Amino acid sequence: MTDWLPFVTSGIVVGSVYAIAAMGLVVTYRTTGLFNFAHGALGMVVAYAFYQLRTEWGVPTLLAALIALFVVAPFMGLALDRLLFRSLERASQAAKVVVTMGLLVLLQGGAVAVFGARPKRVEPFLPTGAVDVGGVYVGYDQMIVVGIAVAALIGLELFFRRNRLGLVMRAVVDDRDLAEAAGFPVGRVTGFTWALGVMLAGLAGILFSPLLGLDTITLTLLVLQALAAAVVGRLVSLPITAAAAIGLGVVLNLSLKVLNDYPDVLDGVRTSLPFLVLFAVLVFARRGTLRELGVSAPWAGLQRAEPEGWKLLAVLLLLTALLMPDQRIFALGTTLVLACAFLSLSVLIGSSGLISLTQAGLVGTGAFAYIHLTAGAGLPFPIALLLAGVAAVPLGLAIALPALRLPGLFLALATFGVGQLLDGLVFSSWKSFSGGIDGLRGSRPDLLTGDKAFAVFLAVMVVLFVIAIGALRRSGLGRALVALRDSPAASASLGLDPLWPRVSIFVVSAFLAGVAGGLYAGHLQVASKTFFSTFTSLLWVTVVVVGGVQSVWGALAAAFLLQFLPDVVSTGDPSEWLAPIFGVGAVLLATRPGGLVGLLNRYRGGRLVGRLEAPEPDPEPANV
Amino acid sequence: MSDAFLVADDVTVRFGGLTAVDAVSLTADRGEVVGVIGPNGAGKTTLFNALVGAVPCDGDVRIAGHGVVGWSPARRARAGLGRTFQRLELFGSMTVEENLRFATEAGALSERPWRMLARRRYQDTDRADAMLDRLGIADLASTPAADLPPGSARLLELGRALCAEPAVVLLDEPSSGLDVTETAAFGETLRAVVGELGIGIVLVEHDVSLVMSMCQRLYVLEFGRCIASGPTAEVAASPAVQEAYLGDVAAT
Repeated sequence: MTDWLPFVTSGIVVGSVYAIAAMGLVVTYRTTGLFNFAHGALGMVVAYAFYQLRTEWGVPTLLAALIALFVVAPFMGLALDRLLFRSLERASQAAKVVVTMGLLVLLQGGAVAVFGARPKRVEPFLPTGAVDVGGVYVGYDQMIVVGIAVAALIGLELFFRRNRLGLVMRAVVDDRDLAEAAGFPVGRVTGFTWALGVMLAGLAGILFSPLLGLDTITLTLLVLQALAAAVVGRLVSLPITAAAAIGLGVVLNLSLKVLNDYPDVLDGVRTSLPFLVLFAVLVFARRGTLRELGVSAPWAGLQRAEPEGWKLLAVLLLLTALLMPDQRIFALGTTLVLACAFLSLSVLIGSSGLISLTQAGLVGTGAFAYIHLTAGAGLPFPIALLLAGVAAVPLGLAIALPALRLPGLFLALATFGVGQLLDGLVFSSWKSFSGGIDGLRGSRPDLLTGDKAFAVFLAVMVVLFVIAIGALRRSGLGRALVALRDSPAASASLGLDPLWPRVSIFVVSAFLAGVAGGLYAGHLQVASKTFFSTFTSLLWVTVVVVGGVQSVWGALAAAFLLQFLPDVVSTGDPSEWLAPIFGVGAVLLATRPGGLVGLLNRYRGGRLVGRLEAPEPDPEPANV
Repeated sequence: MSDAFLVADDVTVRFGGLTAVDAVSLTADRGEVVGVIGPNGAGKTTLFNALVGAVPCDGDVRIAGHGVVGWSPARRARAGLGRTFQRLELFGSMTVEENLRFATEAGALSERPWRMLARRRYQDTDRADAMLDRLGIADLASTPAADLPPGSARLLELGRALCAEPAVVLLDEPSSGLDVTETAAFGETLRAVVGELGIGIVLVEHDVSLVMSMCQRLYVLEFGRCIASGPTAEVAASPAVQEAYLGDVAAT
């Protein structure tokens, strides 16, 4: 028994930090109805500010912490409220998800640009030393962390129950208009909430930094651990959230001990555990207990699908592939592969308005399947490519399952969970499938071994994707998805069930993603799990929405901007400066669902792309 | 028990401790217009939501003789129960014409889902075109529904519900957001269309003149309970109802 206790105590400590972060998520969500994917990233920035003050500028520890928590954090919260979140009050849930993800990408990329990617060591700042509590040594620092978490919980609970401002905060989310009409200072309330939220995130970040070291990714992804706990609390209840976070910390730490003998499984299971919890809660929660808060419109402004103009596209792409000089042809191929992956995502978001954060995992599944089918089973290239698509379909179904019953935000969270589970349980633990960290080597068919030949083939595949997506959008399925996106209630009143349209679009999207994965493995001739992380999925969604999801041109533009352009203009690592740019783009554009392509159209006096290629007269011209 | 198309028996809806609809019984059949009136918060919209299956309820709801407790809203709609919404629920990114055309195929798509992939174009456009003419909004056919003025939007929502060929339609405050002339015009169109199609209407409405002129029978709700029901003239004359809701307006 005494063997276990140290794991339990340190689990409680880690769980307490999760709890602080998770309570921040809950407080902001339940007051503003905006789920902040950038919560962890904000905590990361505050922790860096603390580090800068204390270590670089020599400010005394306590003063540095006070400045970081009571000056930097509230300032960021207020600024975000004023500049960004307020304009999202009535935006669609999808736009909210994309904007906060864009913020995450922006903050993470910005922090790398300012502080560098290398992790920083943070000297412990809490008192060391320990006391013997019934045979277990408990550190003073551990007691302090738990004490802070408990104090935060009690303080927040009292605040919401007793304090007038706390009551107003509860009123605001119930009915913002009514609260405004009743003369409550709604603006001040949301500003205060975000200040409080960033403070809690920052507190968690600062407490974590000596334990984990300080780097941009780890703390940014703190939102994930916090997320699972917050969802157990239905994003509403602080005590349940805190208890779940502490429970999670304990179980994670105990798994360290239990799985000590199985190092292969250890990593995957440990990282996946929170998401198993998350996914289970989301899928098995009683209907109606997961309620989206606040006002949210359908993704209005996602107007009619533009005609895809595949003939012009085919000519453009084939010419590009044929005329591209040899030193750039490989980069073009990579871009075209990415375009296929983006198209598989854009057809989902564009037609259904649903956000999936699993796409990179689906592409990865297709890539690994392709390699096993060609190199392992010796299947011919076209069949292997098709089966790579089929291999991703079960995962598409696994996402469609929650999609049937969860409102948009919770669906995005569930797909996030699936992506993490895929990464942790399949790619990381099942090494014979993914080749572990080194990945697997793939091959091309005999006819297409050259980079140029394969690039031309990829151009043809992109065109096929575009044709398929166009056919889907004009089909009954396409219309049903638009109806469900615009108004689920009205769709039901006409007799339309969401079941088949939702399942179909996830299956189609997964199939296309799997095929894109096969193309990926064929083109790069290697596939490794590091390419297909959930963070990649997140970046993809941001980039694709910035490009624009209402036409296929948006996905293509996104691929060229993210992949081809940096390759041509820069020799360094472009992701360092590109990711933040797309982050800014997402923040600015997510409320304009037309994306870049939509903006171009608007500023060029109407439908630039549509007019350029319009292959046949549009039978139902839009009066946009 | 009544053999009307729509029968609600002792329908009760509770939200936590609050009983929003308390043992309300109601019938509506093809060819008749039934009004449900009552002050704000009386439970009218909640009653509609319970009838179409959007909120769970106790009691019995029957459509065309089938007990439909446990049926999804879409299935009840396919059985012939249509509705409109107090807060407009149009397909904003579709044009007016597409709203109507989609309504004609929505139920069929759910009954035979494999057709969703096969059907490139709308199969049957006649019904939608006829509805455009009937409602007098043919000139707006290619306007995105999100850009419609309120009067036309209400008409479109009515037309869309009718295009699904229901037997009984629940209309939830169709005149809200309309001015006096628009309300009169809406009533005119509604009367004409209903007479022509022979469908039944359950009308929740605040506009007293529209209710009085359209409805053959009335149900009066207050605090979730049905305090009076019967032929319109009788109900309107009852002192309890006048006091509770109609007030001076009905007396003049």
